[in-house]
Parts: sequence; structure tokens; C-alpha cells
Amino acid sequence: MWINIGPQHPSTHGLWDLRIKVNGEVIVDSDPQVGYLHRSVEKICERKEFIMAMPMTERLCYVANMNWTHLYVHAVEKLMNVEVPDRAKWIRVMVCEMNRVASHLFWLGAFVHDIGNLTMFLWPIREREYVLDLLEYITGARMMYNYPRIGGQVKDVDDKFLRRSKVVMDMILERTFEYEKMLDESDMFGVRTKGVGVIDRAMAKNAGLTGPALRACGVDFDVRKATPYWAYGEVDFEVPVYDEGDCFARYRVRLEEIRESCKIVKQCADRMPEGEFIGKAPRVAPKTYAWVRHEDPRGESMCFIMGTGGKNAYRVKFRSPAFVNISALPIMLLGYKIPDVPAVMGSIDVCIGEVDR
Amino acid sequence: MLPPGAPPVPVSTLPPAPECVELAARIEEAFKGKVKAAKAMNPLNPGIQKELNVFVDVATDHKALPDLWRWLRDKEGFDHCSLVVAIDHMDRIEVKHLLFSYTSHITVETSATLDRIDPLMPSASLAWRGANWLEREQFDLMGVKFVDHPDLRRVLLPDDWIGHPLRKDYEFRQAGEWW
Repeated sequence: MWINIGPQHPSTHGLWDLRIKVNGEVIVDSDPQVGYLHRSVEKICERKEFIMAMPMTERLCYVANMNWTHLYVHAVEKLMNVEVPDRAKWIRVMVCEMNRVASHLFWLGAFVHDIGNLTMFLWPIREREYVLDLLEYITGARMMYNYPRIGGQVKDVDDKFLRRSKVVMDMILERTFEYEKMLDESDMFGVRTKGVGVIDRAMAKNAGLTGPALRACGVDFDVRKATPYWAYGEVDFEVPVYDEGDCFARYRVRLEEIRESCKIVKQCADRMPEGEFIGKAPRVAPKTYAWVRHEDPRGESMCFIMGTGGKNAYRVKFRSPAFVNISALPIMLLGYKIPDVPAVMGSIDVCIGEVDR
Repeated sequence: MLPPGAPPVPVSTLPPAPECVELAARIEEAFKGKVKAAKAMNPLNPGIQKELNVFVDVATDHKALPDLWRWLRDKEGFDHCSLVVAIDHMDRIEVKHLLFSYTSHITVETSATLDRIDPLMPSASLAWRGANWLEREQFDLMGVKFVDHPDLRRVLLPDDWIGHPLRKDYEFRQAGEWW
């Protein structure tokens, strides 16, 4: 029997539909249906100038939009061969990591809410507010920041922001230990997540899983470590890796990534270099192509961009990590039962804005 | 219009990394006569991100592509299909597969040129399951038909959609559209 979980179901977190085929209560097949939110961002980006297309790329993911705009800007800079000033590189690392903290906190709240722990739904959301306040202080917006420009940032950060961000990151670092106590010692959380949605290492690589979901399968790979961009080569952080490949390992990887990101933000605040925050950049791109690879909060995001020799792009393509992670759901769900579905769906951290583009 | 004082855009002449040159030579040797060109690419912006890129062009002869993909996966350890992108050049369609290795961190880009009227090419989803949805998306939006793809359906647009919107000659709100 086929059952539709979605498009309007509390555990889908967005408008998508997971069709599962069950034999009794055991899942024998599944077929995710996406596309309800398709806006054709790639076509819109072709029709606009580079600078005008930037706000569109922000709408790709409403939780981690700072990472997506920076990805697009990085691709355009690579296409035009623009050098970015040092201060802008450090600011970018700092705001992207703050956005990653906010994204993971939001995920944590939503995930444990699916599992049934309503107290833990409120705690990370509370801490996320502080990060949003900081980003609002420098960008003026709480959700759609539109902060980078081609060649740098639109606005400089000041000492108050750097000082304040260290305090907030210290606080979040402390609170992650509270989350850990709340969840790791909870039998209910363990029963719902340990050994659920297991995918082995070879299959995870082959199925294209990336990001925290891949690192939970024992693959020690992070784009920030492997091919560092901006100032990631100079900051000190670790890549959490777990071997189990289940929902609990994915939760552990993300929780430890929050800590590592807090460490990176604190280092950036300490070591922020003086100087220009925006450089000179041309408005036209040559007739060639470029792509960049970033570590999004959800995995490996890529932007492919081809220039026309004019002010707009000929072809833009975004690789959404959540899109490919969703396509691996049938492998993770095979053989589990219907009550496990919300845990597995939540553990890969889907953001439908970037899946449907 | 260029802003005053903006530097001209230089074409990269930096030398490619030695491991990329070696890999390109191995591909040339193993697939002599089957691929048109295999070369290590010059890094575009190496001060920002390290680049290890190899470009393999198979032009219009796609018969060697499945063998090349399997060879890369089994012999060279390319265990990840990062991106599938189709580009409409008005007279032809170009499909690029970006393959990545978690051990050597090299990206291999295979480029195939297809006929625009009837774009047929082999599918990489038999070598990497992760390419499945990436290719379905290119079928959906660009109309590339991957002939041995296990599940070639539309993924983002409704099943009864007419046309492929990312083609350059696609007309919006064309006749026969379902709304």
C-alpha cells in the first residue's frame, strides 16, 4: 500500500511529499516528490545582472541564506577573477559560520520537535535569536541579509559587533552542553534515533550524501578542510566524524559542528584584520565558466556559472545538497517502520527552498 | 560599463597542479582515441580556493563515457558525482558531469556535446546513484534524455508540463500550457 506523508504534514518541514510503500508497517519502497516550491531561480538569474540576481540566490534557503549568497558571489568573483580584500575574507568566514550556527540550532529545534521533545524545541530557537540579533545589527535584516557584494561586503563590521559576537558564541557553546545532557541521557530520544535510518559508508558515498549526513557515516570530509576557501585555511577547527550512520550520529555531528563554528567565529573576532572591506570589481564577465564548491550547513553546495561577455550570466546552476540527500531517503528508510519516518526525514535537514530552487 | 579603475579580466595562465597533469595523462593513455581531449586545467582564482581540476572532452562520441566513468570510479577512486549541468548553446547542448574524489580531492569534468533536437546520452546514475536525481533534473529542465537511466521522470515540474524551461528558446506562457 502506498501512503503519502505530505505535502502537508507536520514532519515534512516544507512543502514536499514522501510516498512510502508499506507491507504491514514495514517500509518496502519510497518515492520522494518535490517541486511544489519551484521558482526557477536559475532562469531568473540568467535574465538579471549579476548584482540583481544576488537577492534571488538568498531565497534559495531561508535558514542558511548567508551561505547561499556568498556561494553565488564567490562563483561570480571567480568568473571575473576578482581579488577580495583580507578583511572581507574574514568577515565572510565569520558571518557564514554564524549563519551555520543559526541553521543548526534551528534544525535541532525542529528535529527534536518531530521526535516529541517539546522542551528542546524551544531552547535552540531561543539561542538562535541572539545570532539573528547580531546579524541584524550588521546587515539590517533578520532573515534575508543581502550582505556580500562582488569584491567584498556592503558594510563593515565594528568593534561592538566583534565583542558582542564573542559573548554570544561563548553562551551558545555553554548551552550546547545543556542540549547534550537533555538529549544524550534521554532514553526516549535514544530509542527513536539510535540504529534508525542507517546507511553504510560505501552506499552513502555512492548515493551522493554530503555534509553532516556523510560525516555521520565515517567519511572524514569537509570542504572547509579539504579545499579551504577565504580564511578557512588559517582558522583552527576540527571536523566531527561518527561511524554509526544513524540519526543519532547525524545529530551528534551537527551538535559538534555548532561548537566548532562557535570556535571559528571567536577566532575571527579575535583576528579580524584591518583594511578595506570591499575591493574594485568589474560589472561584465568574460565568456567562460567557473564553479565553486562550498560547505553549506546541509552539505556540499556548488554554483556553476557561465558568462556571456556581458552583464548577465548565460547559465547558472546550483547544486543543492538537500536535493541529493532527499534522493537517498529510499535507501535509508528501507526496512524501517512508519514511526521511524519523521526521525529519518528530519535527520537529513531538508530545506525545501533550495531543493526546489 | 566598467567602473573607473577596474582591472581588466585576465585569462589564467597559472600552471596546473602536477597530480592533475598525471591523472590527465593516465586518462589519455587508457582511453586513447576514445576521448577527444583530457587536460589539466589552469586554476582560475587560486588565492581564494585550491583547485585541482581535470577536463575530459568526449565531444559527440559518447560511447566511451560509461567505461570512462566506471574506470574513474573503480581505478581512480572517484566516489562522488557532484554536479550534472546541461548548457544550451543554441546550436548544441553540452552536458558536464563533475566527478569528485574524497581521497585526492580532484574534480574531473566530463563534457559531452549533444544534438539539440534529439539529445541522447548515457547515464552516470548506473555508476553513482547520486547522479540519479541530478540527471532527472537536467531532463526536466533542459530535455536531455539519458538513455539507460533507471527512472527518467520529471522531478521539479508537473508530469504533464510541456517543454523544457531552461532552453534558451523556451517561451513563457506558451500555448498548450496547463494553466
